[in-house]
Amino acid sequence: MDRRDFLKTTIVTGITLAIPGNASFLIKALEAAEKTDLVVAHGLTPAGITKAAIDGLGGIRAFISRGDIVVVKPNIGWDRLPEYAATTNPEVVSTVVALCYEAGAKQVKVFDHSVVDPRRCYKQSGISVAATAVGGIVSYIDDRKFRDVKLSGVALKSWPLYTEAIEADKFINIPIAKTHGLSTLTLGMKNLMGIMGSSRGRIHQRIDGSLVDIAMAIKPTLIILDAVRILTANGPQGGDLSDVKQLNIVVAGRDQVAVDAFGATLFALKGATLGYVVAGHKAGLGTMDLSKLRIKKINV
Amino acid sequence: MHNNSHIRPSFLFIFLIIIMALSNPAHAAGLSIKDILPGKGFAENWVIEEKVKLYDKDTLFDHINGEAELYFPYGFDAMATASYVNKQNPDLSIVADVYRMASVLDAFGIYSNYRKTNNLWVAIGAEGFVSSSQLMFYQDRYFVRLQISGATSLEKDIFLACARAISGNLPAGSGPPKELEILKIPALVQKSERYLAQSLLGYVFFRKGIIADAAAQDEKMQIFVIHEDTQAAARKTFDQYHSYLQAEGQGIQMTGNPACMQVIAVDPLYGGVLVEQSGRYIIGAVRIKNTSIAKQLIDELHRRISADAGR
Repeated sequence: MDRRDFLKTTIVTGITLAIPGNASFLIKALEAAEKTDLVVAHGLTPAGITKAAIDGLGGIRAFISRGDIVVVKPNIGWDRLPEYAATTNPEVVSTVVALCYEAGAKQVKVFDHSVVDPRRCYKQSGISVAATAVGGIVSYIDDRKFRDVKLSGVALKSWPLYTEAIEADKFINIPIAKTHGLSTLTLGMKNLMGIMGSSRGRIHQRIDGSLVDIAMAIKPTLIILDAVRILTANGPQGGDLSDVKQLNIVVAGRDQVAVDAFGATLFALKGATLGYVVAGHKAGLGTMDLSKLRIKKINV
Repeated sequence: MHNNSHIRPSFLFIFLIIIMALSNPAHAAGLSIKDILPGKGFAENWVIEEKVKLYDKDTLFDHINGEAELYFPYGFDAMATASYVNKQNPDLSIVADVYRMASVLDAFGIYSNYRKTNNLWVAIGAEGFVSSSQLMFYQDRYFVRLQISGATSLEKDIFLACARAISGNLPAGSGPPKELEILKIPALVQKSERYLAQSLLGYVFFRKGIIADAAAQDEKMQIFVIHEDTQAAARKTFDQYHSYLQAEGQGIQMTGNPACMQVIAVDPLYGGVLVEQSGRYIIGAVRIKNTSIAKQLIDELHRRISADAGR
């Protein structure tokens, strides 16, 4: 038994004896206190591994408080069924929405700045139906709701961002892991482009620095990387099932750089090969050195 | 009284040319990309949803954000897209995208980014393939991409009907780009050629070129050809690669004369390489294990270049 386990056992035993019935909650809180950086959950159902990944970080109550207005930001960018792995798995999204309500969230809003017709993207991705079914407030992007935000970043000095995203009490980023023509992979930081207004194509000229600037401004409460299915080629829009690989994995973490660095390994790449991961690491946004992270792997 | 006997045939000729052009819009000057997509539908149960949308270099991001950059090095000029909805099942549609590139080589280049050697090939345009959810082809300087929406599979015949309706509105073209001919040696793995419009092998000094898989005597490697405008330009490119190998590579053996230089080395990214500058061309083989086999392939490429130059 190492020092950490000794302390944990001692504290849990003591508190359990003192306050019977609260042991489960306290164990979860202690696990969160252990500062697990990433949880990698593997299993058969998207809902099961999503919940397990969040529980591994101390449970949803470690992130969401009663009365919070929460924004859940999946990738709903493309007119694709979930099987194509171009959009976030709808079951992962609905599980997060439901957990937020369980934790007492007042509202859980779900939206994304779709690349093509949002009506088709929201419907085909299955996210609209799945999130609505558990009480999620699903809406299309309203162009009037962008507000110019001062960023003072390396690449971006200011940019119009979606008001509901920047004004939410909590922001949960739920990207899908997939290839990307310009940035090699699109993971968590790249998914933040979905709250950007104006001509997003312009940031592609300085994409790595721009993504870090946006990630510095937003700083999600929690990142849930959907790797239930990953798109291994012809991303980001895909469209061919032969490019899709079923991994049945969900990764959860607080550190945007760490989540993306781990996400790269799902494609047999290193985080250091992704420009925005390196830029984020250098900017102090997070760490890309996986050897320095406490990564918990869970099989459900 | 004027003699109209010479005028009438001229008028008739011009009239016939106009009629021919109008009857086949593909041959009309100034073909609008908007008119390439069927305006109402392509079959009885497949009708256009809304109208054809157009994108250019400044707006392509709005349609394929994240993939647009792939198209720009190939001289992307304009794009038209439309959705064709199934009347019996409105959730089912085909999204048809037509991209106009700079040349037939560029259209092939963007097409070759998507094709796989095990695709199911279909006789459409210069070349095309179909899967359960997509059909893609290129014709003249146009690349066409059809994608099912609302399902994971669609009958091949429906894709083909849509593709043929589009193909009929495109210039006929003259088949695959002639630049592919040089790589057609017996060891070439069929349909593996890719044209990269920038940074072949990831090296900026290899500005653009065609690369393909090759297999000979149980040995697999990749062969490539770069066509420069002049012999001096080709030599400069070769020298840049040689300099790179001197800095980063191993086991460098250089032979040849000013018109034809050859280097054998171990490239840090691609292992064994054999690269030759021959006139305006750079030809090479990478990932080689057996140099003598690679030499045979390079010799064959060399002969094809010589034959091409002799035409």
